[in-house]
Amino acid sequence: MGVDLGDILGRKKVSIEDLTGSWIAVDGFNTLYQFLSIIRQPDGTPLMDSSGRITSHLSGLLYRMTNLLESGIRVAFVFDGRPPELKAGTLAARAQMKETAEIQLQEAIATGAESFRYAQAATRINSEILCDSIRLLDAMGIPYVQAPSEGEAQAAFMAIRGDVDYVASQDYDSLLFGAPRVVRNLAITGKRKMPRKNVYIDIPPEVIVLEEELTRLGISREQLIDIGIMCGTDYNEGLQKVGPKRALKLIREHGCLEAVLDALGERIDNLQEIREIFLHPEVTESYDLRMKRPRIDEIIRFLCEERDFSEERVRKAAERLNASYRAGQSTLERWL
Amino acid sequence: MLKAVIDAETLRDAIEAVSSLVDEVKFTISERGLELKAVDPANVAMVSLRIDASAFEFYQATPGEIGVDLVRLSDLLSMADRGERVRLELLEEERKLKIGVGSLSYTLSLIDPSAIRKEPRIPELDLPAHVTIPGAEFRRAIKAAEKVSDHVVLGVKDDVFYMEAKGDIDALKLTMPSSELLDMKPGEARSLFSLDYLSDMSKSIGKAPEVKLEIGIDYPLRISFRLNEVHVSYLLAPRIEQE
Repeated sequence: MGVDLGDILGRKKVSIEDLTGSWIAVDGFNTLYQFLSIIRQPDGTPLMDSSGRITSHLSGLLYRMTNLLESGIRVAFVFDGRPPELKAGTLAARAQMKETAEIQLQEAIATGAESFRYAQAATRINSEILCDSIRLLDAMGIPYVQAPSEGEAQAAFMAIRGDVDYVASQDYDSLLFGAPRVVRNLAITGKRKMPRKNVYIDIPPEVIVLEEELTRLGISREQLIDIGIMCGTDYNEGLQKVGPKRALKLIREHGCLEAVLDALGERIDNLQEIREIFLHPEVTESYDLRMKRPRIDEIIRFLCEERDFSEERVRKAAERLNASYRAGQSTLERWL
Repeated sequence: MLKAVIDAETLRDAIEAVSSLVDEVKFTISERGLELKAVDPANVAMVSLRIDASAFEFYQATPGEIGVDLVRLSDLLSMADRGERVRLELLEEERKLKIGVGSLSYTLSLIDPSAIRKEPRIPELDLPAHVTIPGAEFRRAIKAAEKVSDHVVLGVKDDVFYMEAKGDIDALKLTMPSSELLDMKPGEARSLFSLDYLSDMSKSIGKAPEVKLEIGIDYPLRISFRLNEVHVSYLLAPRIEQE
Protein backbone atom coordinates (compact mmCIF):
# COMPACT_ATOMS: atom_id res chain seq x y z
CA MET A 1 0.00 0.00 0.00
CA GLY A 2 1.19 3.49 -0.70
CA VAL A 3 4.38 4.28 -2.51
CA ASP A 4 7.29 1.92 -2.01
CA LEU A 5 10.39 4.06 -1.96
CA GLY A 6 12.28 1.88 0.50
CA ASP A 7 14.96 1.09 -2.07
CA ILE A 8 16.23 4.63 -2.43
CA LEU A 9 15.65 6.11 1.00
CA GLY A 10 18.16 5.85 3.79
CA ARG A 11 16.82 4.74 7.12
CA LYS A 12 18.48 5.19 10.48
CA LYS A 13 17.90 2.54 13.08
CA VAL A 14 16.99 4.13 16.39
CA SER A 15 16.01 2.83 19.77
CA ILE A 16 12.79 3.69 21.53
CA GLU A 17 14.86 5.61 24.07
CA ASP A 18 16.08 7.91 21.28
CA LEU A 19 12.47 8.97 20.81
CA THR A 20 11.83 9.77 24.48
CA GLY A 21 10.24 13.15 24.93
CA SER A 22 8.98 13.41 21.36
CA TRP A 23 5.47 13.78 20.06
CA ILE A 24 4.48 11.33 17.35
CA ALA A 25 1.46 11.47 15.05
CA VAL A 26 0.50 7.89 14.37
CA ASP A 27 -1.16 6.91 11.12
CA GLY A 28 -4.23 5.30 12.70
CA PHE A 29 -5.44 2.95 9.98
CA ASN A 30 -1.93 1.88 9.14
CA THR A 31 -1.26 1.01 12.77
CA LEU A 32 -4.57 -0.77 13.35
CA TYR A 33 -3.94 -2.74 10.20
CA GLN A 34 -0.56 -3.80 11.52
CA PHE A 35 -2.02 -4.87 14.84
CA LEU A 36 -4.76 -6.81 13.11
CA SER A 37 -2.38 -8.59 10.81
CA ILE A 38 0.44 -9.28 13.27
CA ILE A 39 -1.28 -9.95 16.58
CA ARG A 40 -2.68 -13.35 15.77
CA GLN A 41 -2.68 -16.89 16.99
CA PRO A 42 -0.26 -19.29 15.26
CA ASP A 43 -2.94 -20.56 12.85
CA GLY A 44 -3.67 -17.04 11.71
CA THR A 45 -6.87 -16.53 13.70
CA PRO A 46 -7.04 -13.06 15.19
CA LEU A 47 -7.61 -12.65 18.92
CA MET A 48 -11.31 -12.74 19.66
CA ASP A 49 -13.69 -12.40 22.58
CA SER A 50 -16.23 -15.07 23.53
CA SER A 51 -18.76 -13.78 21.04
CA GLY A 52 -16.32 -13.84 18.15
CA ARG A 53 -15.49 -10.15 18.00
CA ILE A 54 -11.92 -9.41 16.92
CA THR A 55 -9.75 -7.91 19.64
CA SER A 56 -6.22 -7.98 18.16
CA HIS A 57 -6.26 -4.22 17.60
CA LEU A 58 -7.39 -3.54 21.17
CA SER A 59 -4.61 -5.69 22.54
CA GLY A 60 -2.12 -3.82 20.35
CA LEU A 61 -3.44 -0.43 21.36
CA LEU A 62 -3.40 -1.13 25.06
CA TYR A 63 -0.11 -2.95 25.46
CA ARG A 64 2.04 -1.44 22.73
CA MET A 65 0.89 2.12 23.18
CA THR A 66 1.36 1.78 26.93
CA ASN A 67 4.95 0.69 26.28
CA LEU A 68 5.55 3.76 24.14
CA LEU A 69 3.96 6.15 26.60
CA GLU A 70 5.93 4.56 29.40
CA SER A 71 9.09 5.35 27.44
CA GLY A 72 8.12 9.00 27.53
CA ILE A 73 6.80 9.16 23.97
CA ARG A 74 3.60 11.09 23.40
CA VAL A 75 1.32 9.83 20.66
CA ALA A 76 -1.67 11.16 18.78
CA PHE A 77 -3.65 8.99 16.38
CA VAL A 78 -4.75 10.35 13.03
CA PHE A 79 -7.56 8.63 11.15
CA ASP A 80 -8.42 8.87 7.47
CA GLY A 81 -11.46 10.83 6.40
CA ARG A 82 -13.01 10.80 2.95
CA PRO A 83 -10.47 9.50 0.41
CA PRO A 84 -9.62 11.63 -2.64
CA GLU A 85 -11.62 10.53 -5.68
CA LEU A 86 -8.49 9.36 -7.46
CA LYS A 87 -8.05 6.70 -4.80
CA ALA A 88 -11.15 4.79 -5.88
CA GLY A 89 -9.17 2.43 -8.11
CA THR A 90 -6.75 1.49 -5.35
CA LEU A 91 -9.54 0.97 -2.86
CA ALA A 92 -11.44 -1.31 -5.23
CA ALA A 93 -8.32 -3.34 -5.97
CA ARG A 94 -7.61 -3.67 -2.24
CA ALA A 95 -11.13 -4.89 -1.55
CA GLN A 96 -10.78 -7.46 -4.34
CA MET A 97 -7.45 -8.66 -2.93
CA LYS A 98 -8.93 -9.09 0.51
CA GLU A 99 -11.86 -11.08 -0.82
CA THR A 100 -9.50 -13.45 -2.62
CA ALA A 101 -7.38 -13.79 0.52
CA GLU A 102 -10.48 -14.51 2.58
CA ILE A 103 -11.42 -17.40 0.28
CA GLN A 104 -7.87 -18.74 0.37
CA LEU A 105 -7.89 -18.41 4.14
CA GLN A 106 -11.06 -20.46 4.51
CA GLU A 107 -9.59 -23.13 2.21
CA ALA A 108 -6.33 -23.18 4.11
CA ILE A 109 -8.12 -23.54 7.44
CA ALA A 110 -10.31 -26.32 6.04
CA THR A 111 -7.34 -28.26 4.70
CA GLY A 112 -5.06 -27.45 7.64
CA ALA A 113 -2.53 -25.72 5.38
CA GLU A 114 -0.41 -22.76 6.46
CA SER A 115 -2.94 -19.97 6.77
CA PHE A 116 -1.14 -17.10 8.48
CA ARG A 117 -0.32 -15.14 5.37
CA TYR A 118 -3.85 -15.39 3.97
CA ALA A 119 -5.19 -14.27 7.30
CA GLN A 120 -2.94 -11.25 7.17
CA ALA A 121 -3.90 -10.42 3.63
CA ALA A 122 -7.59 -10.72 4.47
CA THR A 123 -7.36 -8.19 7.29
CA ARG A 124 -9.96 -5.49 7.06
CA ILE A 125 -10.82 -2.56 9.24
CA ASN A 126 -14.58 -2.26 9.61
CA SER A 127 -16.54 0.34 11.50
CA GLU A 128 -16.77 -1.80 14.64
CA ILE A 129 -13.00 -2.15 14.78
CA LEU A 130 -12.64 1.57 14.29
CA CYS A 131 -15.27 2.49 16.90
CA ASP A 132 -13.76 0.10 19.44
CA SER A 133 -10.32 1.56 18.79
CA ILE A 134 -11.50 5.11 19.29
CA ARG A 135 -13.34 4.12 22.44
CA LEU A 136 -10.18 2.56 23.85
CA LEU A 137 -7.94 5.47 22.81
CA ASP A 138 -10.38 7.79 24.51
CA ALA A 139 -10.32 5.79 27.74
CA MET A 140 -6.53 5.65 27.57
CA GLY A 141 -6.44 9.43 27.23
CA ILE A 142 -4.63 9.28 23.89
CA PRO A 143 -5.65 12.11 21.57
CA TYR A 144 -6.92 11.32 18.09
CA VAL A 145 -7.56 13.49 15.08
CA GLN A 146 -10.12 12.87 12.38
CA ALA A 147 -8.49 13.95 9.13
CA PRO A 148 -10.76 15.57 6.55
CA SER A 149 -9.15 13.38 3.90
CA GLU A 150 -5.90 11.38 3.99
CA GLY A 151 -4.65 10.66 7.50
CA GLU A 152 -1.01 10.70 6.42
CA ALA A 153 -1.47 14.16 4.91
CA GLN A 154 -2.96 15.42 8.15
CA ALA A 155 -0.16 13.85 10.19
CA ALA A 156 2.46 15.37 7.89
CA PHE A 157 0.76 18.77 8.20
CA MET A 158 0.93 18.57 12.00
CA ALA A 159 4.61 17.67 11.76
CA ILE A 160 5.35 20.53 9.34
CA ARG A 161 3.70 22.94 11.79
CA GLY A 162 5.91 21.60 14.55
CA ASP A 163 3.03 20.28 16.66
CA VAL A 164 4.49 16.79 16.47
CA ASP A 165 8.09 15.66 15.95
CA TYR A 166 7.47 12.54 13.88
CA VAL A 167 4.89 10.85 11.75
CA ALA A 168 4.67 7.12 12.40
CA SER A 169 3.67 5.03 9.41
CA GLN A 170 4.96 2.02 7.53
CA ASP A 171 4.19 3.78 4.23
CA TYR A 172 6.45 6.29 2.57
CA ASP A 173 3.57 8.53 1.50
CA SER A 174 4.04 10.71 4.58
CA LEU A 175 7.33 11.91 3.09
CA LEU A 176 5.62 12.86 -0.14
CA PHE A 177 3.12 14.79 1.98
CA GLY A 178 6.12 16.64 3.40
CA ALA A 179 6.54 15.05 6.83
CA PRO A 180 10.01 16.19 7.96
CA ARG A 181 10.66 13.00 9.94
CA VAL A 182 9.00 9.65 9.57
CA VAL A 183 9.43 6.78 11.98
CA ARG A 184 8.70 3.23 10.84
CA ASN A 185 8.20 0.06 12.90
CA LEU A 186 7.11 2.12 15.87
CA ALA A 187 3.99 0.28 16.88
CA ILE A 188 5.39 -3.15 16.12
CA THR A 189 8.84 -2.79 17.59
CA GLY A 190 10.24 -5.98 19.00
CA LYS A 191 9.95 -9.46 17.65
CA ARG A 192 8.09 -10.12 14.46
CA LYS A 193 7.32 -13.40 12.77
CA MET A 194 8.81 -13.70 9.31
CA PRO A 195 6.20 -14.41 6.67
CA ARG A 196 5.91 -18.09 5.78
CA LYS A 197 8.63 -19.06 8.23
CA ASN A 198 8.53 -19.95 11.85
CA VAL A 199 11.27 -17.44 12.52
CA TYR A 200 11.08 -14.34 14.65
CA ILE A 201 13.35 -11.37 14.02
CA ASP A 202 14.00 -8.18 15.91
CA ILE A 203 12.55 -5.09 14.32
CA PRO A 204 13.96 -1.84 15.66
CA PRO A 205 12.27 1.44 14.78
CA GLU A 206 13.87 3.40 11.97
CA VAL A 207 13.77 7.07 11.13
CA ILE A 208 13.81 8.77 7.74
CA VAL A 209 14.67 12.46 7.71
CA LEU A 210 13.18 14.04 4.60
CA GLU A 211 15.60 16.95 4.25
CA GLU A 212 18.66 14.71 4.67
CA GLU A 213 17.40 12.25 2.10
CA LEU A 214 16.58 14.96 -0.42
CA THR A 215 20.07 16.42 0.00
CA ARG A 216 21.72 13.03 -0.29
CA LEU A 217 19.75 12.17 -3.42
CA GLY A 218 20.23 15.68 -4.80
CA ILE A 219 16.53 16.16 -5.54
CA SER A 220 13.68 18.41 -4.41
CA ARG A 221 10.51 17.29 -2.65
CA GLU A 222 8.61 17.94 -5.89
CA GLN A 223 10.99 15.56 -7.64
CA LEU A 224 10.53 12.96 -4.90
CA ILE A 225 6.78 13.23 -5.49
CA ASP A 226 7.39 12.72 -9.23
CA ILE A 227 9.45 9.61 -8.41
CA GLY A 228 6.59 8.35 -6.27
CA ILE A 229 4.09 8.96 -9.05
CA MET A 230 6.30 7.08 -11.54
CA CYS A 231 6.46 4.08 -9.22
CA GLY A 232 2.76 4.23 -8.49
CA THR A 233 0.82 5.80 -5.62
CA ASP A 234 -2.61 5.27 -4.15
CA TYR A 235 -3.85 7.62 -6.88
CA ASN A 236 -2.20 6.17 -9.99
CA GLU A 237 -0.74 2.92 -11.20
CA GLY A 238 2.73 4.01 -12.12
CA LEU A 239 4.78 3.28 -15.19
CA GLN A 240 5.53 -0.24 -16.39
CA LYS A 241 8.93 -1.53 -15.31
CA VAL A 242 9.83 1.59 -13.37
CA GLY A 243 10.89 1.07 -9.79
CA PRO A 244 12.31 3.64 -7.37
CA LYS A 245 15.92 3.30 -8.59
CA ARG A 246 15.08 3.72 -12.24
CA ALA A 247 12.66 6.54 -11.42
CA LEU A 248 15.39 8.36 -9.51
CA LYS A 249 17.76 7.97 -12.43
CA LEU A 250 15.16 9.25 -14.87
CA ILE A 251 14.32 12.27 -12.73
CA ARG A 252 17.98 13.15 -12.33
CA GLU A 253 18.43 12.85 -16.08
CA HIS A 254 15.34 14.79 -17.14
CA GLY A 255 14.55 17.06 -14.19
CA CYS A 256 10.83 16.63 -14.04
CA LEU A 257 8.19 14.06 -14.73
CA GLU A 258 6.84 15.77 -17.88
CA ALA A 259 10.28 15.50 -19.49
CA VAL A 260 10.59 11.87 -18.41
CA LEU A 261 7.20 11.06 -19.91
CA ASP A 262 8.14 12.82 -23.17
CA ALA A 263 11.37 10.86 -23.37
CA LEU A 264 9.65 7.54 -22.68
CA GLY A 265 6.62 8.31 -24.78
CA GLU A 266 4.36 7.55 -21.83
CA ARG A 267 1.54 9.39 -20.14
CA ILE A 268 0.09 9.57 -16.63
CA ASP A 269 -3.52 10.62 -16.24
CA ASN A 270 -4.41 13.36 -13.77
CA LEU A 271 -0.74 14.15 -13.14
CA GLN A 272 -1.34 17.69 -11.85
CA GLU A 273 -4.16 16.56 -9.66
CA ILE A 274 -2.04 13.83 -8.07
CA ARG A 275 0.77 16.27 -7.40
CA GLU A 276 -1.73 18.62 -5.82
CA ILE A 277 -2.90 15.90 -3.44
CA PHE A 278 0.65 15.59 -2.14
CA LEU A 279 1.57 19.27 -2.21
CA HIS A 280 -1.66 20.82 -1.01
CA PRO A 281 -3.72 18.12 0.64
CA GLU A 282 -6.99 18.74 2.41
CA VAL A 283 -6.11 19.12 6.10
CA THR A 284 -7.57 20.71 9.20
CA GLU A 285 -6.03 23.10 11.68
CA SER A 286 -8.53 22.26 14.38
CA TYR A 287 -7.14 19.47 16.49
CA ASP A 288 -6.31 19.04 20.12
CA LEU A 289 -3.24 16.97 20.89
CA ARG A 290 -3.38 17.05 24.66
CA MET A 291 -3.12 13.76 26.50
CA LYS A 292 -5.96 13.18 28.89
CA ARG A 293 -6.03 11.35 32.15
CA PRO A 294 -6.38 7.61 31.52
CA ARG A 295 -9.69 6.29 32.84
CA ILE A 296 -8.66 3.01 34.41
CA ASP A 297 -12.19 1.96 35.31
CA GLU A 298 -13.43 2.53 31.79
CA ILE A 299 -10.51 0.61 30.27
CA ILE A 300 -11.27 -2.34 32.53
CA ARG A 301 -15.00 -2.15 32.01
CA PHE A 302 -14.60 -2.14 28.24
CA LEU A 303 -11.81 -4.68 27.79
CA CYS A 304 -12.54 -7.08 30.64
CA GLU A 305 -16.31 -6.94 30.99
CA GLU A 306 -17.18 -6.46 27.34
CA ARG A 307 -14.28 -8.04 25.46
CA ASP A 308 -13.12 -10.80 27.82
CA PHE A 309 -9.57 -9.59 28.42
CA SER A 310 -7.79 -10.83 31.53
CA GLU A 311 -8.44 -8.29 34.24
CA GLU A 312 -5.11 -8.86 35.89
CA ARG A 313 -3.12 -8.03 32.76
CA VAL A 314 -5.30 -5.11 31.72
CA ARG A 315 -5.19 -3.60 35.19
CA LYS A 316 -1.41 -3.82 35.20
CA ALA A 317 -1.15 -2.11 31.83
CA ALA A 318 -3.70 0.54 32.83
CA GLU A 319 -1.77 1.28 35.98
CA ARG A 320 1.48 1.58 34.04
CA LEU A 321 -0.29 3.90 31.63
CA ASN A 322 -1.55 5.96 34.51
CA ALA A 323 1.86 6.13 36.15
CA SER A 324 3.44 7.35 32.92
CA TYR A 325 0.73 9.94 32.49
CA ARG A 326 1.19 11.14 36.01
CA ALA A 327 4.96 11.43 35.81
CA GLY A 328 5.53 14.21 38.32
CA GLN A 329 1.98 14.02 39.63
CA SER A 330 1.87 13.14 43.30
CA THR A 331 -1.03 11.33 44.93
CA LEU A 332 -2.96 12.38 47.99
CA GLU A 333 -1.70 9.35 49.91
CA ARG A 334 1.39 11.35 50.75
CA TRP A 335 -0.66 13.71 52.87
CA LEU A 336 -2.83 11.17 54.66
CA MET B 1 -35.68 5.99 54.13
CA LEU B 2 -35.51 8.84 51.69
CA LYS B 3 -38.23 10.88 50.09
CA ALA B 4 -37.23 14.16 48.54
CA VAL B 5 -38.06 16.73 45.89
CA ILE B 6 -35.39 18.96 44.41
CA ASP B 7 -34.91 21.36 41.54
CA ALA B 8 -33.42 19.44 38.59
CA GLU B 9 -30.71 22.01 37.95
CA THR B 10 -29.55 21.97 41.57
CA LEU B 11 -29.24 18.19 41.59
CA ARG B 12 -27.56 18.14 38.17
CA ASP B 13 -24.99 20.70 39.28
CA ALA B 14 -24.28 18.69 42.42
CA ILE B 15 -23.83 15.44 40.51
CA GLU B 16 -21.69 17.09 37.86
CA ALA B 17 -19.30 18.38 40.51
CA VAL B 18 -18.59 14.77 41.46
CA SER B 19 -19.00 12.82 38.23
CA SER B 20 -16.01 14.59 36.67
CA LEU B 21 -13.84 12.62 39.11
CA VAL B 22 -15.60 9.36 39.92
CA ASP B 23 -18.21 7.13 38.36
CA GLU B 24 -19.60 5.38 41.43
CA VAL B 25 -20.23 6.88 44.83
CA LYS B 26 -21.70 6.08 48.19
CA PHE B 27 -24.16 8.69 49.44
CA THR B 28 -24.68 8.99 53.17
CA ILE B 29 -28.27 9.90 53.95
CA SER B 30 -29.12 11.76 57.12
CA GLU B 31 -31.48 14.35 58.45
CA ARG B 32 -28.89 16.93 57.46
CA GLY B 33 -29.09 16.03 53.82
CA LEU B 34 -27.09 13.92 51.35
CA GLU B 35 -23.32 13.71 51.67
CA LEU B 36 -20.49 11.94 49.97
CA LYS B 37 -16.72 11.74 49.92
CA ALA B 38 -14.87 10.15 47.07
CA VAL B 39 -11.40 9.93 45.62
CA ASP B 40 -10.59 9.51 41.93
CA PRO B 41 -9.14 6.13 40.81
CA ALA B 42 -5.64 7.59 40.56
CA ASN B 43 -5.70 9.00 44.11
CA VAL B 44 -4.94 12.46 42.80
CA ALA B 45 -8.17 14.26 43.62
CA MET B 46 -10.81 14.04 46.30
CA VAL B 47 -14.25 15.50 46.41
CA SER B 48 -16.66 16.04 49.27
CA LEU B 49 -20.19 17.06 48.54
CA ARG B 50 -23.04 18.00 50.81
CA ILE B 51 -26.54 18.73 49.61
CA ASP B 52 -28.19 20.37 52.61
CA ALA B 53 -31.71 19.31 53.48
CA SER B 54 -32.60 22.96 52.89
CA ALA B 55 -31.59 22.60 49.23
CA PHE B 56 -34.61 20.35 48.77
CA GLU B 57 -38.16 21.54 48.42
CA PHE B 58 -39.17 18.52 50.38
CA TYR B 59 -36.86 16.30 52.37
CA GLN B 60 -37.64 13.41 54.65
CA ALA B 61 -34.97 10.90 55.55
CA THR B 62 -33.70 8.42 58.06
CA PRO B 63 -29.97 7.62 58.16
CA GLY B 64 -28.66 5.17 55.61
CA GLU B 65 -26.29 4.61 52.71
CA ILE B 66 -26.83 4.10 48.99
CA GLY B 67 -24.42 3.26 46.17
CA VAL B 68 -25.09 5.16 42.96
CA ASP B 69 -23.76 4.89 39.42
CA LEU B 70 -23.34 8.58 38.62
CA VAL B 71 -23.04 8.00 34.88
CA ARG B 72 -26.53 6.53 34.79
CA LEU B 73 -27.92 9.05 37.21
CA SER B 74 -26.68 12.04 35.21
CA ASP B 75 -28.00 10.40 32.09
CA LEU B 76 -31.46 10.25 33.64
CA LEU B 77 -31.22 13.77 35.01
CA SER B 78 -30.33 15.13 31.59
CA MET B 79 -33.94 14.39 30.60
CA ALA B 80 -35.30 16.94 33.05
CA ASP B 81 -35.83 20.45 31.75
CA ARG B 82 -34.49 23.48 33.51
CA GLY B 83 -36.92 24.49 36.24
CA GLU B 84 -38.46 21.04 36.53
CA ARG B 85 -38.57 19.17 39.82
CA VAL B 86 -37.03 15.78 40.44
CA ARG B 87 -38.71 13.43 42.90
CA LEU B 88 -36.50 10.92 44.66
CA GLU B 89 -37.73 7.92 46.57
CA LEU B 90 -35.62 5.13 47.95
CA LEU B 91 -37.16 1.68 47.46
CA GLU B 92 -35.20 -0.05 50.17
CA GLU B 93 -36.44 -3.60 49.64
CA GLU B 94 -35.74 -3.55 45.92
CA ARG B 95 -32.50 -1.61 46.34
CA LYS B 96 -33.63 0.90 43.78
CA LEU B 97 -33.96 4.64 43.62
CA LYS B 98 -37.21 5.86 42.09
CA ILE B 99 -36.64 9.06 40.17
CA GLY B 100 -39.63 11.01 38.94
CA VAL B 101 -39.50 13.87 36.48
CA GLY B 102 -42.87 15.33 35.44
CA SER B 103 -45.05 12.37 34.54
CA LEU B 104 -42.03 10.12 33.91
CA SER B 105 -40.74 7.78 36.52
CA TYR B 106 -37.55 5.72 36.40
CA THR B 107 -36.15 3.18 38.75
CA LEU B 108 -32.39 3.27 39.04
CA SER B 109 -30.77 0.10 40.35
CA LEU B 110 -28.46 0.89 43.21
CA ILE B 111 -24.99 -0.51 43.72
CA ASP B 112 -24.10 -2.42 46.86
CA PRO B 113 -22.33 0.27 48.93
CA SER B 114 -19.74 -2.29 50.07
CA ALA B 115 -18.70 -2.77 46.42
CA ILE B 116 -17.74 0.89 46.11
CA ARG B 117 -14.27 2.06 46.88
CA LYS B 118 -13.90 2.99 50.52
CA GLU B 119 -14.44 6.61 51.41
CA PRO B 120 -11.16 8.42 51.70
CA ARG B 121 -9.98 10.01 54.88
CA ILE B 122 -9.72 13.73 54.34
CA PRO B 123 -6.19 14.76 55.24
CA GLU B 124 -5.69 17.56 57.72
CA LEU B 125 -3.71 20.19 55.92
CA ASP B 126 -2.27 23.41 57.11
CA LEU B 127 -2.42 25.61 54.05
CA PRO B 128 -0.59 28.91 54.56
CA ALA B 129 -2.45 31.11 52.07
CA HIS B 130 -5.93 31.40 50.70
CA VAL B 131 -7.77 33.59 48.23
CA THR B 132 -11.41 33.92 47.26
CA ILE B 133 -12.28 34.88 43.70
CA PRO B 134 -15.39 34.69 41.50
CA GLY B 135 -15.89 31.14 40.15
CA ALA B 136 -16.24 32.43 36.60
CA GLU B 137 -12.89 34.19 36.88
CA PHE B 138 -11.20 30.97 37.95
CA ARG B 139 -12.80 29.03 35.12
CA ARG B 140 -11.65 31.61 32.60
CA ALA B 141 -8.07 31.50 33.88
CA ILE B 142 -8.06 27.68 33.65
CA LYS B 143 -9.37 27.80 30.10
CA ALA B 144 -6.69 30.31 29.14
CA ALA B 145 -3.96 28.24 30.79
CA GLU B 146 -5.09 25.17 28.86
CA LYS B 147 -4.30 26.93 25.65
CA VAL B 148 -0.60 27.04 26.48
CA SER B 149 0.18 24.09 28.74
CA ASP B 150 -1.09 21.02 30.53
CA HIS B 151 -0.17 22.27 33.97
CA VAL B 152 -0.48 25.49 35.92
CA VAL B 153 1.12 27.10 38.96
CA LEU B 154 -1.12 28.63 41.59
CA GLY B 155 0.64 30.89 44.02
CA VAL B 156 0.45 33.74 46.43
CA LYS B 157 3.28 36.19 46.89
CA ASP B 158 2.78 38.85 49.53
CA ASP B 159 -0.76 39.95 48.85
CA VAL B 160 -0.88 39.04 45.18
CA PHE B 161 -2.53 35.88 43.86
CA TYR B 162 -1.17 34.53 40.58
CA MET B 163 -1.67 31.70 38.13
CA GLU B 164 1.04 30.84 35.67
CA ALA B 165 1.13 28.40 32.75
CA LYS B 166 4.20 27.90 30.61
CA GLY B 167 4.13 25.93 27.40
CA ASP B 168 6.93 25.17 24.98
CA ILE B 169 6.26 28.38 23.14
CA ASP B 170 3.70 30.51 24.94
CA ALA B 171 3.24 31.53 28.53
CA LEU B 172 0.25 32.84 30.38
CA LYS B 173 0.13 34.74 33.62
CA LEU B 174 -2.81 35.98 35.63
CA THR B 175 -2.18 38.25 38.61
CA MET B 176 -4.77 39.57 41.02
CA PRO B 177 -3.72 41.90 43.83
CA SER B 178 -5.70 41.73 47.06
CA SER B 179 -7.84 44.69 45.99
CA GLU B 180 -9.31 42.54 43.22
CA LEU B 181 -9.88 39.52 45.44
CA LEU B 182 -13.08 38.89 47.35
CA ASP B 183 -11.05 37.72 50.31
CA MET B 184 -7.53 36.58 51.09
CA LYS B 185 -5.06 35.42 53.67
CA PRO B 186 -1.64 36.52 52.47
CA GLY B 187 1.29 34.15 52.70
CA GLU B 188 3.95 32.41 50.66
CA ALA B 189 2.50 29.68 48.50
CA ARG B 190 3.27 28.09 45.19
CA SER B 191 2.24 24.70 43.84
CA LEU B 192 1.92 23.13 40.41
CA PHE B 193 -1.23 21.29 39.27
CA SER B 194 -2.42 19.24 36.32
CA LEU B 195 -4.79 21.22 34.19
CA ASP B 196 -6.90 18.26 33.19
CA TYR B 197 -8.12 17.84 36.75
CA LEU B 198 -8.60 21.57 37.22
CA SER B 199 -10.36 21.78 33.90
CA ASP B 200 -12.86 19.08 34.88
CA MET B 201 -13.43 20.77 38.22
CA SER B 202 -13.70 24.25 36.78
CA LYS B 203 -16.94 23.43 34.96
CA SER B 204 -18.69 23.32 38.30
CA ILE B 205 -16.57 26.02 39.89
CA GLY B 206 -17.49 28.39 37.07
CA LYS B 207 -21.12 28.35 38.26
CA ALA B 208 -20.25 29.41 41.80
CA PRO B 209 -20.37 33.11 42.75
CA GLU B 210 -17.20 32.62 44.72
CA VAL B 211 -14.54 29.99 45.16
CA LYS B 212 -11.98 29.73 47.93
CA LEU B 213 -8.54 28.44 46.98
CA GLU B 214 -6.23 27.29 49.75
CA ILE B 215 -2.64 26.93 48.61
CA GLY B 216 0.65 25.73 50.09
CA ILE B 217 4.18 25.15 48.87
CA ASP B 218 4.25 21.96 46.78
CA TYR B 219 1.15 21.02 48.67
CA PRO B 220 -2.36 19.91 47.77
CA LEU B 221 -4.85 22.57 46.77
CA ARG B 222 -8.18 22.84 48.50
CA ILE B 223 -10.98 24.35 46.48
CA SER B 224 -14.27 25.09 48.23
CA PHE B 225 -17.41 26.63 46.84
CA ARG B 226 -21.16 26.65 47.18
CA LEU B 227 -23.77 26.22 44.54
CA ASN B 228 -26.76 27.51 46.52
CA GLU B 229 -27.27 24.92 49.25
CA VAL B 230 -24.81 22.47 47.73
CA HIS B 231 -21.36 22.53 49.31
CA VAL B 232 -18.45 21.21 47.28
CA SER B 233 -14.85 20.82 48.29
CA TYR B 234 -12.02 19.41 46.21
CA LEU B 235 -8.56 18.44 47.25
CA LEU B 236 -6.02 18.09 44.45
CA ALA B 237 -2.52 16.66 44.85
CA PRO B 238 0.23 18.79 43.28
CA ARG B 239 2.61 17.86 40.53
CA ILE B 240 6.18 17.91 41.64
CA GLU B 241 8.16 20.37 39.55
CA GLN B 242 10.97 18.75 37.62
CA GLU B 243 13.93 20.34 35.87
